[in-house]
Parts: sequence; C-alpha cells; structure tokens
Amino acid sequence: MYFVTRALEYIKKQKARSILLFVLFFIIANIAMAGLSVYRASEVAKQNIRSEIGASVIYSIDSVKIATDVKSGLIQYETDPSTLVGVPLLKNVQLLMNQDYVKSVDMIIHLEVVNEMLEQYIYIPTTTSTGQGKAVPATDSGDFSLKTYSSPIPTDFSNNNATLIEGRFANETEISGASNVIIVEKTFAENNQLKLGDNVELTEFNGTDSSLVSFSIIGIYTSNIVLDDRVARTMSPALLPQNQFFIHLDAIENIMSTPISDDLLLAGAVFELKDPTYISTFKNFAAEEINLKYGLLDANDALYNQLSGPIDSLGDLSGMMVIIVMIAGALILGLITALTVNQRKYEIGMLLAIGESKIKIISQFIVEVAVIAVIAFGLSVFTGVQAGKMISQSVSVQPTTTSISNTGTQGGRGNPSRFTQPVVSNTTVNIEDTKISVELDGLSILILLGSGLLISVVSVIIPALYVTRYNPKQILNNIG
Amino acid sequence: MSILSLKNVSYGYIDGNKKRTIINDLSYDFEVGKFYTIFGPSGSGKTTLLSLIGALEKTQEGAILFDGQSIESIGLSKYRRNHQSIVFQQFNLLPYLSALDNVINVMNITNNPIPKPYKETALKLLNQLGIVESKAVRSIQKLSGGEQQRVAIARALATNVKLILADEPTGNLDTDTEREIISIFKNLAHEYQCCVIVVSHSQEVAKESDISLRLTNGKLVEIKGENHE
Repeated sequence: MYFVTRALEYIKKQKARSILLFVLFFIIANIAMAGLSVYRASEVAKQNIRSEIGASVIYSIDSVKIATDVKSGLIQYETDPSTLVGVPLLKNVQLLMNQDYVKSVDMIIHLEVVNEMLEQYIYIPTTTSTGQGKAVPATDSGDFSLKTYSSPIPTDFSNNNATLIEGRFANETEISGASNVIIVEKTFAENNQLKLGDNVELTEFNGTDSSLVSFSIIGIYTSNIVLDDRVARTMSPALLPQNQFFIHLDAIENIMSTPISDDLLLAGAVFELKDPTYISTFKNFAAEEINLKYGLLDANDALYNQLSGPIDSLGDLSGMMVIIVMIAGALILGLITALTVNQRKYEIGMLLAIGESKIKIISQFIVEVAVIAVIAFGLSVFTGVQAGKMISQSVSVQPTTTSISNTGTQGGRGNPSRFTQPVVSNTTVNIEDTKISVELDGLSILILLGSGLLISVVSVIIPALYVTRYNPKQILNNIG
Repeated sequence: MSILSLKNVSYGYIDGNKKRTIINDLSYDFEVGKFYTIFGPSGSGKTTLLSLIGALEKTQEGAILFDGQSIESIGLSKYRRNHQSIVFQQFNLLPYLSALDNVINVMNITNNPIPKPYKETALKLLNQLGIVESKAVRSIQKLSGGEQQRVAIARALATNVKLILADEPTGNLDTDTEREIISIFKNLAHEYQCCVIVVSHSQEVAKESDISLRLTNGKLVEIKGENHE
C-alpha cells in the first residue's frame, strides 16, 4: 500500500498540478451538482404537483373521437356506444379495479328517469358574468337523471363538485340490501317542498315497465359546478346538476327494466389510486389490456401539464446540462490526465525498473486523482446546491389557485349523441408553493461522486495502460 | 559460485535494411563475491547487455539464468523486484520523494525480508553511505549528484539482493566521489558477498574490479593485467 504514500507525496509536492486539477474538478462538479440538484428537485416538484392534483383517474367514453368517426363515416350515427371498442363497460372497469394499486373505484351510471308530478329545474341563460341560470317550474314532463356511486363517498362529493348539506350517504346495511335511498339537490328539494325522510317516486325514461319506484331521501346536496352558458344551453335539462339524484350502484337494478350485465356501458368510472406515482403504470396497464379506441383515461392531465410545464423545461434543461458537463468534463479531465501521465513516463519506467507492478503504478495515479476529486466534489455538494438554488429561482411556478373544468365526456345508455354530456368535473387545486426546492439530495451526491470518480479512473487508466505496455528500457530510452 | 549465467544470449535490431547484432551468442557465468566491470567502445552494447541482465527487456535468443533458473520463468517483474538491483547513471530517483522515502519505497516494493522498522533500516543504510539524517529527509532534488548516487546505491542495497548492476555509476561524478563509489561497490562484493556488475568507460573503475570484461563483437572477453584500453 506504499503507492498511497507515493500518491499523497506527489499531490503535496506537485502543488501547481494538484491545484489546477482541483479547480477543474471543482468547476465541473459545481455545474454538474447544480444541474443534478435542479433536475432531482424538478422531479420531486412534479411528484408534488401530481400529489396535489390527486391520484384520481377518470375512465370515460371518448365522445370527441366518436363524433369524428361518425362524421367521417367510420361508424354509424345509430351505433350503440356499448358496442364500441374501449368504452367504459362494466367488465372493463372490473378488470382495472382488480389491480393492487387501485384503492377504490366509483362506477357511475347515468339513467334518465321521469316523474311528471315533480318540478324540473330549467336553465335560462342570463347576461350576468357568472352565467348562472335560474329555476323555473317545469312545463313539460319531469325528466331527471340518476347518478350511481359505488364508493363510500361519491366522487362528486370527494372532489368538491357537490356538498352534502343535510343527511348522509347510504350506510352499509342500505348498500348490502340495495335499499331505495336517494340524495337529492337542494333546489330540486325546495321547488318540490321535499325534506329528509320524504319519498320520491321515479320510473325509467325508456323502460318497458312504467310503474313508479319509491326512493327515500337520506341526503340533500348543493352542486358546486358552475356551468358555462354555451354548455348549459345545449345540455339536456335532465342532466343539469340540479336535476341529478344520487343512488348507490347496487340499487340501480331496482328501477332498471333490464338486469345489469358485464357489457353495461357506464357513464364513467373514477379510480382512486393508492399513490399518484401509479398513474402512468395504471394507464399503461389499461392501454395494454383494453384497446382504448373509444375510451379515455384522464388523470387531470391538462392541469398537470399546465402546472408542470415550466418545471419540465427546467428539468430537461438541467438534465441536458449535466450530460454536456459530464461529457465535456470527461474529455477535459481525460486530456489533462493523459498529458500528465505522458509527462510521467520517466517515473513509470523507473518504477517498473525497480520491480513495481503495473497495477500499483496505475493505482497510485488513480489515488492521486481520486483524492483531489473527492475533496472537490465534497465541497461542490454545498456550493453546487447554492448554484442550483440560484438557477431555480429564475424559473418557478407562482403560488396560485387553479381551477380547471374537466371537459371529458360521459356516455349514457342509448344513443351517444343524446346521452353524451360533458362531465363537468370541477377540480380545484391549491398550489401554494411549487417553487423548486433545491436541497441536498443523497442520490444526487451519489450520482455525482460515482460518475466523477468513474470518469477520473477511466481518464487515468487509459493513458497509464498505454504507457505501461512498454518494457522499462523502452520507456527510459524514450525519455533519454 | 555462479549466481548469474548467460547462455547463448543474442540480441540485435533492424537498422534500415540491415540486421545489426549487438549481443552475439554470448555465454558467461558471474559469481558472488566478485566485482565485475564491463567496458568497451560506445555502441558496443554494454548498456543493452546490462538491460538484459536486469530484465529491463527480453533476450531475443538464449537464456539468462539466476541461481540456475531462467529469469523469464521467475517472471521479469518479480526478478526485478526480488533478485537484482540497478544503479543508473541518471540515478532514476523519484523526484517528489525524499532520499529516505526513495529507499523506503523499494523496501515496500520487494518481497525480500527487510528488518523493520523500515525507516530505521533506511536511515542506517543511508548513513553508512554518507547521507546523514538531515540530508536524508530532504527533497532528492536538493542533493548533489554524488549524494544522489549514494542514495541510488542505498536504494539498490535496501532490497537485500545478491546481484547489483550499475550503468556508468560514476559517469556524472568528480574523481574523488568516483573513488568513494568504487570503494562501496568493492565492499559490497567482498564483504557482503554480492555479485556486482558495473558497466563503465572509466579506467579507474576497471582497474579496481576483480574481473574486467570487454564487450567485443557481441561477446565478453576477460582482460588480464592492467591494460583496459
């Protein structure tokens, strides 16, 4: 192990060379460390945004694609949407919900129901900036829609599209017994003078059996969805939030004229994953198992892309910076080391002449470079992070509250043009601080040290091997 | 007793279109306890012969035996490490180490048993060769030529080998220092029972040696008497 002593003595005696090498390592390491820190921090920031947005994935029918294909004649206008490939059929949802990373799923069926004795909410466009309509008494028939839920709390309530202001959701006994319990909208309840415990009688819109089924009101909610005038005007009144009732999935058969089958087309399904990091895995699995030709999986991607855009750019830039610096650094180091080793031919020849092994000679050179590299990299861990912070300060996402309307569509039973409606999923995300937090990161340090040492070792080994392939006489004669 | 035998050793190189033979079917036995000088005109192949004996390069034909065993079968690197030492005309000391560290360095390289602690043994050896401790710890570049040559000899002795080779060891030294170095080599041969082989132009060195050898036409010829011209 005396080669280590030789290496340390060489570093001490050859101060100019050691300082030059140190400065070079320090500059390269700082740039690389800054880049790595920003890159890693941008990854973490993107994960945080994803966590903030949530781990929900909405599976719905792709009505835009259907409309396009109908227009181009690829599918017929009359085609039953449940026969289209990739739409959210019950069997498809069941396949996806059995994955380990799925925490819960809310299966949604839209069913149009009727009771001519009940007042329907009609949307009248106004000129106010809110675009809010007002309720008027029904003039025709009382068309409404039933929306099912299969999770303990319906997704509309967990994502703040609706708020339960009175009563409760269905309990376990009511779910297991498929009890006819219902949650109605506040405006509807007021217009029809209904309260908790009252009964609502409904029948299926297109059903063959016209007998009314009675549902007991267990909850009253208000809708938080703000409809765009243009959307609201074109919507079927039955699908307006005020005309929507919530019942548990297991109770839907009580009013449906046909039994639920695996090929039942759902209006949509909302998967709640155990962690946002599973979103891409989930999507990939779905794409492999189900051909999503006319189906859509959306994890609030528009909002995610909007928020992560600047961070992505910074991450890409820093990643590129690291690669360029590493390559340039490797080349510069390689050249300097090669020149240094070349200048030390005499020493190599002399050491070989007195019987030193080639491995120990190369090891000495490696120790010399590695000692300087470790000191430089060690210092750059702190200075590089500071540089990274300065870079990241120039690109950050401002604190904001972002509200985005998911304009995906949900299909219903029957003709897609009639039953396709915008799923107005009003997701509000509070982004208090998505500034890239550049901190000391163990993995970045390991990557930097590992790659730095690897570059150093390779840049020493190659020229040293080139010289030591000669015999001592040849090396010493060349010097002479 | 023969320690080193050259058996039909040949060596040459291509000069233009001609093959030039430097060592030609050379055979010779070197014994312990003797001080040999090899001399001859410039270009006669003295340094090449010493390089072959010191395993700095391989023979093209024939064999070199150390204690009856071919140095190639011992392994050239291992042979250089454990069985011989060379003193170079240019000293070939590590410039970034002190005189003391240069000697300790070879003690760590060889596999031969060296009395420990190495520092003490090295200092004693340097002292015997006239390098006091205050000079031993100095950078090698701050020593005179004669002192550096003494350090180079100390380095050669530090590995505890029986075969010591020297290439023009007094070539860069003044007459007084030359005499001192010759005296050291004689002492090594006679008192420490080493085989000392010195390549030199110097008449002084040749006169002091036990056996003088002239390298002529690629062969070694023993010179009798005082005429080393």
